Amino acid sequence: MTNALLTIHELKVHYETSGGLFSAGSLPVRAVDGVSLELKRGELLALVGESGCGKSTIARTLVGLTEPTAGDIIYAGQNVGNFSPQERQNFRRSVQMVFQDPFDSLNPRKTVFSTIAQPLRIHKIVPRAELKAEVIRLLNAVGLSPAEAYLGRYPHQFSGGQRQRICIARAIASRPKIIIADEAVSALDVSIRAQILTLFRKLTQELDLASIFITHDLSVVRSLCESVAVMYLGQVVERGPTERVFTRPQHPYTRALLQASPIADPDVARSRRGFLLEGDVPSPANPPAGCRFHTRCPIAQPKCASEPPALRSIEGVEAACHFPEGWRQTEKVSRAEEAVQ
Amino acid sequence: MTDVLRIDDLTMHLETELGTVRAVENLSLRVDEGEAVALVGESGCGKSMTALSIMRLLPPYARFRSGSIRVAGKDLVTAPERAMRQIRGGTIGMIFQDPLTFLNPLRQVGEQIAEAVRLHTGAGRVEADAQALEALRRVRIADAENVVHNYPHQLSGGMRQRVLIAIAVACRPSLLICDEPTTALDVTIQAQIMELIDNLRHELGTAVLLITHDLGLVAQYCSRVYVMYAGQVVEDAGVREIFQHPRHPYTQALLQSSLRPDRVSEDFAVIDGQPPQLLAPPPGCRFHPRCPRVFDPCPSAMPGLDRAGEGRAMVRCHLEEAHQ
Amino acid sequence: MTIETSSFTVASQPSGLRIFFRNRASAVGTAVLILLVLLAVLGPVLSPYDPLSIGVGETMAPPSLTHIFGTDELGRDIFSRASLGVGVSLFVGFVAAAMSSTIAILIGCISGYFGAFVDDVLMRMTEIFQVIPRFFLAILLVAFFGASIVNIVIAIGLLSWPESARVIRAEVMSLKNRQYVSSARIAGASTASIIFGEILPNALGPVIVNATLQVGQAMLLEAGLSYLGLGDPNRISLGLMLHQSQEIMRTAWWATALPGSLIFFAVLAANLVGDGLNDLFNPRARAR
Ligand SMILES: Nc1ncnc2c1ncn2[C@@H]1O[C@H](COP(=O)(O)OP(=O)(O)OP(=O)(O)O)[C@@H](O)[C@H]1O
Ligand SMILES: Nc1ncnc2c1ncn2[C@@H]1O[C@H](COP(=O)(O)OP(=O)(O)OP(=O)(O)O)[C@@H](O)[C@H]1O
Ligand code: SF4
Ligand SMILES: [Mg+2]
Ligand SMILES: [Mg+2]
Repeated sequence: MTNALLTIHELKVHYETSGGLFSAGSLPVRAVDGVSLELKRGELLALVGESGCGKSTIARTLVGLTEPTAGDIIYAGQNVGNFSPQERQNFRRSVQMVFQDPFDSLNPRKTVFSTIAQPLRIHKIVPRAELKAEVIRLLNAVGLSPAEAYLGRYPHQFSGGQRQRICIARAIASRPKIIIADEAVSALDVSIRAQILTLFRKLTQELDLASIFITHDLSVVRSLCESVAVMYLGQVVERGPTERVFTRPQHPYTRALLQASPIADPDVARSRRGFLLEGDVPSPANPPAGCRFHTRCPIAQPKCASEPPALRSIEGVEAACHFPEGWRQTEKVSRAEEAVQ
Repeated sequence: MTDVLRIDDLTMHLETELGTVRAVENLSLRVDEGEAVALVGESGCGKSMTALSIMRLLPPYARFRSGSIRVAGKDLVTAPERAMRQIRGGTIGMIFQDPLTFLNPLRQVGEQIAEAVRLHTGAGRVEADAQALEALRRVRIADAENVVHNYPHQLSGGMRQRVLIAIAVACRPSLLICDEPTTALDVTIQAQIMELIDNLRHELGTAVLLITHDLGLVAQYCSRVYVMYAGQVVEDAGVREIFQHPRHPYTQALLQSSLRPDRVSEDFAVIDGQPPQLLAPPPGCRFHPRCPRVFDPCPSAMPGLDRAGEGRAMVRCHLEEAHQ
Repeated sequence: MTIETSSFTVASQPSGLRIFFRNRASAVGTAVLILLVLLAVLGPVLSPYDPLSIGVGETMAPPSLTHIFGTDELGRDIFSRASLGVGVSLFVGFVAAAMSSTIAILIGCISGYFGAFVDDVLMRMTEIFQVIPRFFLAILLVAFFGASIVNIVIAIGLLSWPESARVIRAEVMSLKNRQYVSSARIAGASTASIIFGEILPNALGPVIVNATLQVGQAMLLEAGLSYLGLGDPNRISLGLMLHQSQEIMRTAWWATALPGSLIFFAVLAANLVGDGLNDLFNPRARAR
């Protein structure tokens, strides 16, 4: 707890959906419903889970775009809720974000220079006279050179990968301590993705940044992040060191995610077929009682439908499941069946 | 084995205001009965344009410059529009990345499937409705009796994709073209849809042309692969051959830079530079500005797609030519 | 680290001006507007006759080489008067449109950006302004505060913002959720700089289109008021000329027809330019 740079404690973010004419009194969307996380200095933490499970909502709450409904955010040992306006401003400066869509995250009417200079001006990072030199330095840092030639260009003159570099330059401009990357490489092609990931890893090391890397692509997590938190319907169902979680997942959902992730190797891919989750993710406005995963869980028991499981330590990770060992039993059975055939 | 689709030396250009987009160039491709074939490549390399050429659903300013697309004895390049209507949805079914744009928001999904059936089989109303229900069951929609009466917006993304598949296979096509069918879906839903497509292939004997940029899906579901780069096929080989002995430098780089959930890659192998613009593709080998093994002939001469080694693989690279 | 070796080149889009002028209608509209401006500026200088003096020629002389637009019942030169009138019309049109656009931008931005309660209040207000018959309210305002040209401009400006405000509001509402707006907020930008620096420049397309259409409407409204005799009696406007020549319409067609067609051309030109701009800013028209 002590060396945590950022701690999220029991965070809840509910969206009030103003019941329109036809859906008067609809339930609030419980986008994030009791999430606790911890980010250490210099750590690369992955946040994974399916669409709508609340990943972006956590990110938006951390950078102040959305107000939390309940829970605490603790930065460098202090509760952000009690910050003075000045401290809050400092906190905002320290947490920056890179978005998914490189075609939507740059103002089409602003030049590269004025986009990157904006945070520098607002937070008075460098004196006015050094603005240009600083922007050039940032562009060089993200691998856009010759930087001078790029300053006056507009976003439409860049490719997706280059735009994402510009976004990263803007994010590191205010000298943050934490970078949140929300699906920052999901829209990019494999070859460009590798370029951006390389840049991201290099910068986080050089600038000693902690970062939360939001993605639904487990293969990126495996190679990039030391630790991972798996979310399902607004809650964390498993978290721990990436190596552990990937090799010995404890929660059935983590398992299902891993099984469903394609592997670019015909021999491996074909030998592990056969495990599929049934059905769709339920609505976060009306999540199932008990364990939220029980409607799709292949090993659910009656207890799962009534009692919500808490996160607890199991074999070096933390998982929220009543029957983590249930998995190994079914697996043994199917192995045995295979052996018979 | 007989082929259900055979494209020979197809060149298709888009004559836009900004100039000629060389979307498909000298492309040859074959899909055999009941086979699953992949067309992989990065964004903008011409995968969708190839699929749309087969279906002849191209923008009005598209021009076929050479080659043929043979399906069931007809050349689709020259076939009259009337014949195309029978091919689309009849002989060839197609599903797309974004199902919502291909479903009518104002009509129940059952009706939409039944209409496709009536159009192609001349079945009566009652018969078509029964087939629509049957089609929904075939794509494993639980509770199909109710879902036939739903409107597209009432369904989840995965369900919509199932409905689109139901429409596509309702008339038992001999080929199903899937253009990034799961890109918009979650991994667990993606796995469901891919399993479904694969099962239908076995059940109905429908050949599948899977267009994707995900090498993982290719490895899992396809038996042959065409790798596309800048409007051209650069490698054509069996799936094991491609993954174990990629021959084209682009295929090699692509495989190296693709990450795996079951393995840690210490550094992300990187292909420098950007994919080329098809408005003004580089001369010579299209890949030469990014190729780590570029040598003398590459910048000036375009390599042909030639048989490489002893296997069946075809490669478009001067290195292979040099070997022979 | 990698440096993009082959720098990415995007073939330049066809320029805005080219798209605008490829549309023949908007090219004609622009040409007509330029001619009208030239007429307003050079007309009084070129014409040897004082527009106000009576009897510079015969009364009700048909168009001829000496009086190219003819003369009216008091023997005044219609060309010199009409060129002044065009100036007044254009002045009213552009100033009133600028004024209504300014109001529309303010209300639309505030309403769209803040949403919720603020939006409800402002939009109800907009609706009220929208349902009031504009022409009659203009008559009332002018009758009440006096028929000076400034009052007329203000009356027209105050009455024609609601449609633009709604358009801008809708635009702002969709733009405020764009990621680059979020990025600016994360960078710490103030609300004002987000609205005016990030959102508005991207919403300007429809604003400009609407403003151009407003120009035509304002000119029509002013002509209507003057025609009814409610215009500024001290300024020669095209509407006023129509008003004064009503009685001689049968005998001297040129006294009404020529100023009338100038109004027609001015309004048409403004609308053509508006349509052309609309094509320019409407992405569907730029597809391909
Ligand atoms: N402004 C909002 N108003 C109402 N509901 C919202 C709002 N933003 C998000 N939601 C809902 O909250 C839930 C969580 O959304 P969030 O964007 O955090 O998910 P996510 O995990 O980032 O998903 P994705 O992978 O699709 O980006 C979703 O069900 C979403 O529909
Ligand atoms: N309607 C169009 N008009 C002009 N050019 C187009 C059009 N559609 C696509 N192109 C161009 O044709 C080329 C091939 O596009 P295509 O859609 O086939 O790519 P793709 O391989 O399917 O890519 P993605 O993975 O992004 O779907 C691209 O360079 C693209 O810019
Ligand atoms: S608690 Fe029960 S339902 Fe939830 S994941 Fe574990 S076994 Fe499945
Ligand atoms: Mg998200
Ligand atoms: Mg495509």
